[in-house]
Amino acid sequence: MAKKILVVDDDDLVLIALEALLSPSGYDVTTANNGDDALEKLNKKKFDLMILDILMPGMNGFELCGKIRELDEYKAVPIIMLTAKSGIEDKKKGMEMGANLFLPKPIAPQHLIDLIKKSLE
Amino acid sequence: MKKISDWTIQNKLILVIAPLVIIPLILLAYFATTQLNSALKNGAEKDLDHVVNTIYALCEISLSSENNKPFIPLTQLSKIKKVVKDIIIGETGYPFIIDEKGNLIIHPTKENENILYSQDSKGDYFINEMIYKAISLRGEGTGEIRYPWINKELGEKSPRMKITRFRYLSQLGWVIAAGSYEGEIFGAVGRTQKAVFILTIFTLTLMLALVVFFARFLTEPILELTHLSSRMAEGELSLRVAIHQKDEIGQLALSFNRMAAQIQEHTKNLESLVKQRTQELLESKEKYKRISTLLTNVLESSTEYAIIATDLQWKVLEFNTGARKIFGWEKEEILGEYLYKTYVEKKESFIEWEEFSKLQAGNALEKEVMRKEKNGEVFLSRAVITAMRDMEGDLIGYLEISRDITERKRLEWELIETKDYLESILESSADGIITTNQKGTITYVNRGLEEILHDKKERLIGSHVSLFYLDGIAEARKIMNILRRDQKFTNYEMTMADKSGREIPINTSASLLKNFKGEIIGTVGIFKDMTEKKRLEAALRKAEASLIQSAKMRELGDLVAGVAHEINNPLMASQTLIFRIKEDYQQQKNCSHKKIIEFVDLIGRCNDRIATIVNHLGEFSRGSEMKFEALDIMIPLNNSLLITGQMLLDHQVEVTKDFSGDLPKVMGSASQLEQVFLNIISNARDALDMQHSNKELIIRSFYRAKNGTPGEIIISFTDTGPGIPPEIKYKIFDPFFSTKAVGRGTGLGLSLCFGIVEKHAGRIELDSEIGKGATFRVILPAISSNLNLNKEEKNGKEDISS
Repeated sequence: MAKKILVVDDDDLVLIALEALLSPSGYDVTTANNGDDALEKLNKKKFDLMILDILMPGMNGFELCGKIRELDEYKAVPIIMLTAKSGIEDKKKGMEMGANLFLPKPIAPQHLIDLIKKSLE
Repeated sequence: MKKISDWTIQNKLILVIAPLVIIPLILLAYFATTQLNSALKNGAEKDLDHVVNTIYALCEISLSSENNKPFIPLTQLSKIKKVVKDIIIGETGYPFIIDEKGNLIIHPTKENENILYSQDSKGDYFINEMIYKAISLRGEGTGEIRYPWINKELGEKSPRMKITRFRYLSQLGWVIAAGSYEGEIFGAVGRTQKAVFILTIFTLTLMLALVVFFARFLTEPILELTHLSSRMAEGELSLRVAIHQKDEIGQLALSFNRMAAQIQEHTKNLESLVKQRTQELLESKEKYKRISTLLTNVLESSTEYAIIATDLQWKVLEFNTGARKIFGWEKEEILGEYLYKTYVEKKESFIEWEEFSKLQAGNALEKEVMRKEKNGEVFLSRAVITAMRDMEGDLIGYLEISRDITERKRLEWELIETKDYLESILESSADGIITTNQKGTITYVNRGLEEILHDKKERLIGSHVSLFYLDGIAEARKIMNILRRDQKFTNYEMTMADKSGREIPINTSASLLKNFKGEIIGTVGIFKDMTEKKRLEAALRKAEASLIQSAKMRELGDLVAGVAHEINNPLMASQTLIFRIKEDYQQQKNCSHKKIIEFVDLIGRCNDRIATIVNHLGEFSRGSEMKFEALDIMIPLNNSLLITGQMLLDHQVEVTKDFSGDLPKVMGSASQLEQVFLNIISNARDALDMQHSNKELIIRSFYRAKNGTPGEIIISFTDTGPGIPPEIKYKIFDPFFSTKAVGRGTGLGLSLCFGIVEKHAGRIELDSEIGKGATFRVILPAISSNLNLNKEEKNGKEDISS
């Protein structure tokens, strides 16, 4: 059974690109373009991995990450945070909120696929 | 008892004359009596002796001898007896013969009786005594005994003195005696004495009467004179003495009468004189009373001044109301006390020796000295002490006039302190302070001015103030004209020059100097040396420029971060899409053309977004220097919206634009104004980010006409954020003030905006209320108010460009 991945980003172009990248690799990709949308979708399906953008209007990636970790069934699900900024402070904060990986945008697509694969093992 | 000197002359005369008469008389009487007495007495004694001796001789003749034994023959004896018995001496006296054994041989009555032990009335054995005495005589001469005898035969009760003379007839041992009563013998003597005594008394009385009469006679006129003069003394001046003698008393009476007449005359004159004098006296008394009252009034009404008079020993004689008030002593308490009691100094030193000599020399002594009240309280007084002299110029005492100057001294000190205080304020001011008189001559400068002009007070004061103005007298006139018109001015910029000619930029404020009556007495000016400020300002301008630059760099950093974000997203998207296409081709997977075209389109969109951003970055970098030009405000406004458009969208900020179509141009720098707008927009976004809904930003642009000016262009940004608390409303334009988290803002944004807008001669206004958002208004002056003209210009430009 295909692994389910939730991608959250406010930028449609990013969502389309990531879906185009991950779907052919055999993942079940669901997209959401803000935090509330993502939380709603989390209730409907059990995802195996999440990719969160940080800079989003409304709830940002850190807050979303924190909220996900509060949910019992997502305590140990791998969360990858993507950011266009790459400050150390942000990375630290991401880890504190329970993210497993903190990756800069843009990232080499192959590298991303490798990391997702590794995280899901 | 009266003294002799108080006796009347009459008595004195009697006292003198009476003894002169009486004493010789008494002496004479005494002498006569004694002589007579002794003569009579001798006669009587001789009679007795004669009887005794006769009988003795008779007996001796009759003596016969037989056998050597003498005897008197009986015949003889009887003859003798007869003779003896016949003899009577005086009235009762008689002779007798007695033998040694006390046997009476011959006696008128007691012949042959032995009376040896018969006693007289005193109890003495007088016969025995007589016989003993007689034998002791041995026949030579006669003896005598005297004894008191009461003759009982004659019935006598009281004794009478009897005298008996005797002679011893040794041959027979007989005692021949003759006795008689003394009274009988001295009877004549007593009678003589009596006669003399009576005569003497009579003479004495007569003499005394004479003396009294004589004294009377002599003193009578004198008494009358005395009496009259005493009456005259009582005022009866018309009385005259009626004595018509030619002697000295008569003379005296005449003189007396003359004198009385003269006195009467004089008295008359005197009375009128006295009347006149009395009148004068009354007048002068009145005058004295007036002066005295005046003096008392002066003394007593002087309540501020203590007036104290003392004698030469400094004992208080006068102590007026003021003194009582000042020193707290009552007059009765202090009178007679020493003045030094009111001094703190001791008795010995409250007046120094030199001071004392000064007083003696007639100088007034003025001194400020500590004094003491009755209750011991001490105060400072100023005293003037002078010596008081009488009409002859002799020193009679001292007069002190003093007053309590504690209060005055305190005020003096206060004044000095206030003056010092004010002077120290003036002197400590770094600004130069000058006062001049009406002519412009410097009357005072403080240290601040000395330092500004590098000159000394002594040289500055007295010089004309225009000497230190770069423009000299012209500047002084200008300043004076302003002062005459406005009374004062502030922040007048001018230049001074010190003695070396160094120019000093000065900011001065000045006003007219008036005295308490409101009359103009000169000017006072405060000169602030602006050299340092000018230098600082220049430095500040420089610093500000570099600050703007660094803020710009930071803005740029923020922008780069933002841009990076904006660019990284499409970059990542396009990279990913390209990877997908490449993968599909490499793996010869089924990849429809349609899909590829869709991906390529997406990549194209990514590139467009990147291109727009990069293009804008270029514009941002160009606008670094201020280049003012006539500018359509919409150009920087639209540019800023273009840059922030995506960001605002990303932050779900709903932007409403309400732009007025035709706005007059402003003079300004597009890039600078764009920064202002960017700043305000990004602040609005930050504010709106604090809430999740109702994120609105309304941006308006419009023109507002303003009387007498070309009007204003207003760009307003109204957000629906939480608003700005009033306490920080006025701080938000301060440099480095920020409400944002560390790292989020520099705090320079709004202050730079403020500076930029100020340079455009505009201003930023802020309206905000908690919970109701905030409105920032950027207000810039329009170049021309005439919109049509503006349009024509615009049209003209268009014409030229077309």
